[in-house]
Amino acid sequence: MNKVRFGMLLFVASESVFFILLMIAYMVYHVSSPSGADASRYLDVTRTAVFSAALFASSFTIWQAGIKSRTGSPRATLAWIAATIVLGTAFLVGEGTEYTDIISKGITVNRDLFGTTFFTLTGFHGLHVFVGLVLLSSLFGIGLKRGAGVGRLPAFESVTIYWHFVDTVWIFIFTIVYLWALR
Amino acid sequence: MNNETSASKTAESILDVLEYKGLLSWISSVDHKQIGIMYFVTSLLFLLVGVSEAMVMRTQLIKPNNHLLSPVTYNQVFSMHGTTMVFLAVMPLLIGFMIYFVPLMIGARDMAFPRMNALGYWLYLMGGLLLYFSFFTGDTLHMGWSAYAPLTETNYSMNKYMIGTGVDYWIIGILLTGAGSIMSSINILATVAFLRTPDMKLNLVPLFVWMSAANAVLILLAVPALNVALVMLFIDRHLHGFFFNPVAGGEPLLWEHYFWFFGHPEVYILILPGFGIISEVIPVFSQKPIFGYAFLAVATIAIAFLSFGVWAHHMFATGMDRTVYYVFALASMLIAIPTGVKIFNWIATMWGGSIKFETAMMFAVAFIMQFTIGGLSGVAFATVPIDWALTHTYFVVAHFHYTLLGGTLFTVMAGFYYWYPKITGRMLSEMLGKIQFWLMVIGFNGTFFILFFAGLEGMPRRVYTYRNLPYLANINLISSLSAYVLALGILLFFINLVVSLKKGKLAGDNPWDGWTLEWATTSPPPPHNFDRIPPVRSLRPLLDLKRERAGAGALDFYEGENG
Amino acid sequence: MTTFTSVLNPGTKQASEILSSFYIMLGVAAFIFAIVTGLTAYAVIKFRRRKGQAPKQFNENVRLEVLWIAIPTLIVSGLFVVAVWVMWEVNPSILGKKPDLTVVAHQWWWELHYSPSGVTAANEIHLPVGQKLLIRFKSADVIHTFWVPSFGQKIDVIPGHPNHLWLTIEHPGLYLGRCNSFCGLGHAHMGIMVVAQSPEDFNAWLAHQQQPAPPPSTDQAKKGFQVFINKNCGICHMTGIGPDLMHVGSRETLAAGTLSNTPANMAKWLKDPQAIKMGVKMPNNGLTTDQITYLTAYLEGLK
Repeated sequence: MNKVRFGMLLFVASESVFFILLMIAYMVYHVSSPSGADASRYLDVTRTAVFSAALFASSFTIWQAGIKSRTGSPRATLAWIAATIVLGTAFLVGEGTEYTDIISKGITVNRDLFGTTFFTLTGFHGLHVFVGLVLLSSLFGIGLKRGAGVGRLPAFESVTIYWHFVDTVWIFIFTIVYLWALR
Repeated sequence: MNNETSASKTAESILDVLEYKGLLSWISSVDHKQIGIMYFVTSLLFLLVGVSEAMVMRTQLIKPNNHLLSPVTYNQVFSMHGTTMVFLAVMPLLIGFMIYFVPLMIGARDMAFPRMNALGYWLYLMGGLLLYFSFFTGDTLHMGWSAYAPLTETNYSMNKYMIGTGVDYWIIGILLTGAGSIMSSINILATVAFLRTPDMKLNLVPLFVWMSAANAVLILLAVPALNVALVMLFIDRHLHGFFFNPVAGGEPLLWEHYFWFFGHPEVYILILPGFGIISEVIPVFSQKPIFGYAFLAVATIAIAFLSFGVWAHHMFATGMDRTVYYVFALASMLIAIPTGVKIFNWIATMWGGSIKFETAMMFAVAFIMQFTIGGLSGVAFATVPIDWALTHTYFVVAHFHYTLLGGTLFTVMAGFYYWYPKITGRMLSEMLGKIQFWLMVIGFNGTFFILFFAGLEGMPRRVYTYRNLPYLANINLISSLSAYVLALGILLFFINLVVSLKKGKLAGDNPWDGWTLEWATTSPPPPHNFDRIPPVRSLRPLLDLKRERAGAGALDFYEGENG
Repeated sequence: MTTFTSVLNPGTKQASEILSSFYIMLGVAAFIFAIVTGLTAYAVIKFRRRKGQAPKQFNENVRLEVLWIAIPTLIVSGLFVVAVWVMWEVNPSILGKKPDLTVVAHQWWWELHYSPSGVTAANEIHLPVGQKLLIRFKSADVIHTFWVPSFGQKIDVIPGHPNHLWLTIEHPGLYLGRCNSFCGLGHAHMGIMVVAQSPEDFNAWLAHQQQPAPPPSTDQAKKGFQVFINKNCGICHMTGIGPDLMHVGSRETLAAGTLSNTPANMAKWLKDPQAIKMGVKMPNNGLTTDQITYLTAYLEGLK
């Protein structure tokens, strides 16, 4: 444990409270608001499952990047980081498609409580993925200059923690929004 | 000792520190001491603003049916008073103490993340400025610092008297200061965890540091709850969402739950570092070690832990399920136990000591008694039926001023009289300090003790004018007049701060015979903090050093065994 | 008539119960405070610094610690029992009972619906003494709180969350209270007045309320009625947006306790409501002096 990693873990703890409360709000309104049940008509679990898989896979790729950097293979490290970025981007593109689709069906933040809670919850998660992609891209850039060493930077470690966190949050959101609420 | 620990050439007063010259050195600083001082200066200025707002309110309330201020103005003033005192004055004052003294007390060179430290400060400053900028837009928050929905929704906050932008500035301002305080808390925790001088085991960490760490945990886990609520409100206001808007099924109570899930830990955030200061000041001035160190540390953790399970006692009048009442009443009452442990341990620390009544110690003693009143009236609110009778009234106002003003602000005063010499190299005037102390004790108790009765006699909070019911005119008159005395005391403090900066007596390294590490370096400390860090073998490393120097066996300084 | 304004002057069974729990708490608090102050004062006087005396360096006593953990735990448990006991007494389950009165809170007045009589009134609440009454609360807009200090329990009035309150009023009299949650600009002018009467008087009042007010009799009042029609006052005052005015002339106060109900005050109110109660929904209707005189005569005649 070093202080950077410790600091990132604390940050993740703080962010967890943020997301837990957003998810509670989603569940409360799903139960209390008649529009909650409505959601099933617009959400497509299969489509979301596909781009979710991309995000879940990216947790694996960033883990591999860490391993490769420890064994000292700069190309493999960079390749795995790049794969993570591609998968993360794929997730965001998938989410973008979903947004366009349901917005075109008239579901917006200001339509009803489903719209308000759905876009807030998934939107904040998407924002976190985006921030993660920016961080990963910076690491990729550093990696181009410094080779495998990038995997041993405290920054790489903390971005890994952050990325796993973003991934874990999505497991919960997917479970709540697409599995529990659409059951 | 001076020669030992401060071998290098050092400044005698903060005004002579070369590294601190010029505006740029401050703006670009990542030094925890400089950032700490910036926290002090900024939050003290905001304190002054908050005090002025309080004086405006007390002037308005000096007689019944007063129409000096319009309700628009009065509502803005009381809302900004609360927001300012909580977010811009007291919380950053305490963070300032934490950032300045935690590294020094654990023998560190700086914080774990110096640049993030600076960012935290600038976010706080910008948030505060943004909040006050709202006055220039023609509208400022006017719903109270708790900003209950749906009053903050656009459909209720915009009318011909108000354009509603105040709420938006409040949201953004508080989000910024909140982000800043989360950064500070991560920083404090990492500093305490990783940068302690190697021989400082966890059971040798000064209590101020313990309590700062507990405080950081609270900030870390409580502030995001406020952030969520603010973000949701912002979405309601600007994207026309419905989180808190009953018009489309939104739930105003969710705001209360989230706000108080933050808000109750927040009140402990506002007192824990104060407890820490008291736990340093009382032993030093009693010339005895702190009594029940382990119990104090554990009590702190217990308070921090329990504080997350009591938020609904702010909502006892909302008509909840019976079970909910039981759980939260019990949890709220339980908090009284660790708090009591602290009070008794502090008294036991004084017991049998040789108490030096310098100003810092006087504030500490007054704090114990005033905070006891605050705490006991808090237990009244945990007793559900009493809460039903008295919540939302001036009884509450009296209660939380006893904890936050008679409590926290008095600890802050003790902290300044104790540590000002370390920060600046010069002593605060003890004479002015003692006058200030008595003005504040008389003014504070005169203002707020009588307000308990205002609540009992039927005076609601947050009204710009009130009916001439029996007793209320006299109660408010006494309260307002005392408030001016209190304000005079606070003004004297500011005068003392400024005058002593140049005219104060030179302090030397250790004017109070303190024994924690911050006294082992020069006053003000050099930019690198320590030339040499003394070994830490007990809670009082400097005392050990002194004894050692006096020669083995010659325990002329303090006799006894446990020290 | 006696006026009740203070928590310390209970007018209902429930308020007396709550006040006794408050006195128990006060006793406990005084006891603890006396101990803390006594010990502190003793320490401060006895252990002042004396030259040449080095204090003994003790810092632990587990027995003492156990003592001051155990005793507060006992005290707190006792208080918890008191709290639960009084809660049951004051706020028993409603068990499907129909409310005797429904109060709807508005920014910044109170709408009243009595059942089963169906009487609608505003701001001035008449209630019978000696009966256990169930009152239901709803909000038409933001969060308000119904607080009459001498009734003991207060209750938040929250949109979407109907709440209730039990009252057994013991003394006839005038009970003053106010809205107790900040609810906007007019919050300070959202008074409550409860007239507690003997059951006979209450029933007489109820019967009177069920009758329509007498038609305007004087010339001025008849003209005032025309003003009322022409200025479309009914758009708000007959639809629940503003207070029902059927018997406004019989009420003690105007604008939810802001002014006492005299013709002069009524005229002042009609001339510029915003100057008296800033933010109130009633606009300045630009009435001429004559119109105000007529309207005042009409409204004050609505007994």
